Amino acid sequence: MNKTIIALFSLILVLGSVFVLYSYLSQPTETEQQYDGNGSVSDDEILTELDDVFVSEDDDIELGDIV
Amino acid sequence: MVLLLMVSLSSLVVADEAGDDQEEDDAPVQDDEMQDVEEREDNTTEKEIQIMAYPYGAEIRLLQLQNALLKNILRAEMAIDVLQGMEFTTSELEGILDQMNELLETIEEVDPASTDSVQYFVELKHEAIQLTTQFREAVHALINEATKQHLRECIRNATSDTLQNYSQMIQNRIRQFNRNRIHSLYGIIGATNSSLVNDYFNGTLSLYQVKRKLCVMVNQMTQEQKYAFFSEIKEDNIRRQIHAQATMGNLQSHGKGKGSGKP
Repeated sequence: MNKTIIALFSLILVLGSVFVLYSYLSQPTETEQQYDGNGSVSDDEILTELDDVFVSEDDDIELGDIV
Repeated sequence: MVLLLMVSLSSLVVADEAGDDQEEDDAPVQDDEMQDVEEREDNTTEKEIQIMAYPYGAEIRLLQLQNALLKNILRAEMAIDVLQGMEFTTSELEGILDQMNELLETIEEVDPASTDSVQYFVELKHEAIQLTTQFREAVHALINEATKQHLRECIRNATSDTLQNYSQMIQNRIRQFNRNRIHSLYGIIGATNSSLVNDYFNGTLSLYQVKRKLCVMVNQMTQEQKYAFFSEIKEDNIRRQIHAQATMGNLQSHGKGKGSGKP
């Protein structure tokens, strides 16, 4: 009887762990949540990408100090 | 008794080995610092070469390099004048200054339209940094901290008409570059109104204002169109980053990144 209870308990434990692991791994990442079927993108994200498209007018090349 | 002797002997041996390790550890610290500096330089250069695949991109970077080097040359000339006035021997500094002037002439000869312009830019920029560092170290070897501060004050505002001409040219090229980029974004959005382009080019609108107005245009699109627009510019940005990384990797592996850079 005791052996049966222990076996049942172990089985429940294993199944529970598998279920938790599966739920965690199949959860969409932050990126996927942003770019889901709705395709919603924030203004900040667009502005960030636009920063890389253009050259800033105070852009400069640094060679280091001469003194 | 014998056990005590063995324990004390073994602790002596361990202490001695730790001492050797400490000496070995001190030596590579300086190499690590230089490696960090070089890595930062490479990362910055990699970002800078990204625009050189586009029209005006190579011209902008070469003009900026000339501008930065000329600024340092003017400051170096002023520094030498000040040090000569304080009766320091400046022959070594004058030698480095001559090399900087030669390097400037070399950069001016580079054709921005050449397929090797990226390679020349990377090499010549590296050489310019090396000469600047050599000059700075030679000055530091001559003078104390107080004189250094005094010298920095003297040379801070060194300028010339040529430098101002460079700044004007660079600003003009940057506006032309950005104007082209606005046109290409218009192509993705499907916009036709050219007032934004003209207002930016003639200085009525700043670049920041242009970006905000583009955001407004994009927000008037459907979600799918907005996402498609975002994906396209993000993809293009990533492609340029990868291409720049590959180019730097190629230059470094063929030993061209730190070469003489003569076109």
